[in-house]
Amino acid sequence: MKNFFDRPTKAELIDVLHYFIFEEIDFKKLEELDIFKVRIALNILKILKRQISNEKKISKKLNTLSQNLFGEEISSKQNLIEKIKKEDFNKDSIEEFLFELSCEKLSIDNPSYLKD
Amino acid sequence: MGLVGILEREMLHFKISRMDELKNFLESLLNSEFEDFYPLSGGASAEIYNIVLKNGKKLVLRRTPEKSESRLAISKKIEAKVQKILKKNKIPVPEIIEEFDESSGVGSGYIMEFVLGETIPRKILRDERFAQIRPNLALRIGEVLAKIHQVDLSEIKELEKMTFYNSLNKLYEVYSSFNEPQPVFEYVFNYLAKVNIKEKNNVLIHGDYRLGNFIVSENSIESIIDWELTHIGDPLEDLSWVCVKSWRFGNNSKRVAGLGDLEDLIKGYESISSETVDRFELDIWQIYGSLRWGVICMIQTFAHLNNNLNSIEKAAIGRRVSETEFDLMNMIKNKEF
Repeated sequence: MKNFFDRPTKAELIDVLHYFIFEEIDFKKLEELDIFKVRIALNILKILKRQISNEKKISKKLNTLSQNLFGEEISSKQNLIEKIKKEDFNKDSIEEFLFELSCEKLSIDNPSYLKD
Repeated sequence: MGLVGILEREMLHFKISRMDELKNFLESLLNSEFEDFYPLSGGASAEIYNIVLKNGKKLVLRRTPEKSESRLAISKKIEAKVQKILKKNKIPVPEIIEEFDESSGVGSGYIMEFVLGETIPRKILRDERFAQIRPNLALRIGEVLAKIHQVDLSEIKELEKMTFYNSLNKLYEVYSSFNEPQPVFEYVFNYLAKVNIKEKNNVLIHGDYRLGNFIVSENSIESIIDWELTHIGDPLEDLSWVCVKSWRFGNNSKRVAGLGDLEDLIKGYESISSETVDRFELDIWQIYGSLRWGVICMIQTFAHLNNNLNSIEKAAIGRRVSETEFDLMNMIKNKEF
């Protein structure tokens, strides 16, 4: 059984939290520092939503890329670290892979940074 | 109320009583009652407070609380000493008014003059009132930095001397201590360790020389603040830090703090200094700078993850590591600085 939880789904729960914080909290009644913290909380919710929606797709994409560049699937972060420490790579391939990895991570953490 | 709620309430009472204790101590030190006293955001180790005296005069407190340690910052006593020497050398820094040490019972720190101006980079980069000064700021940043780098070091023996490789090794030690290896960081540490850079450690380095630490008015850079990371090192460390992309706030085509071109900064610097800026080494130092900011993000987030210090700001900054990874690979792979 893949999904046995009731609705709201993970993504829908995040949406309602985002809606509550953004639409129902009166920012005018908050101190400056609290507004700053609420904005951070909203941003965390956005990161969570993007990660939940996209992480499987990104893992698949990186697996395909590692097959193409290294002829093998890099199964974990630790696996990649070991490859780097042993210098078991072609320079252009590893730089291509690390660049794509950083783009994918950033597409979750802060997509607007990619556009700047 | 549950246990957590009771503990939170107790903690709040504790914070308020500590704040009162600090205020009483400072009023007695300055021999003046306060009209207002409130915290601002802090630095790597410091707490910063605005003080308004009964007569309306404004001051600023920088304090390290008792038993509070920083992995990077110098003591408040040395920070104050450096700032006094800089003032004597006509570098724009706030004047130190009073100092106190751990024997005070409220930590160590100093009170300095309040300098009027703006420190929020986005405002300096975008507000109409700074439109006149903006085109000249990159040049001015270079000029002021050259003067800082000319300060006689004979009076400041306490500061650590760091070359490029010392800095890189120290950063790796801090990064390794989290036991959370990052593939991009591993690659970049390895890349930088193999680069050939001249071993220099002959000038006073600010250590965090960027727009957020400048007090800027419509006419000038009024003051350089936050000297807690100062040390003796290579001039390129400061020159490159102000170029790190994280401090451009979206104005990415302007390499110097989102304000101006690299040549403006170098022109200002070389107009005062006898040093000629090596562009290749500056690029390498900028890669080191982005890596350093990435590790600082880790320091912040692991303060939340490891030390039971619940902080939404510190937790969130862990997800800014990917920005520095993107910048690092863009510099190394695509030669985009």
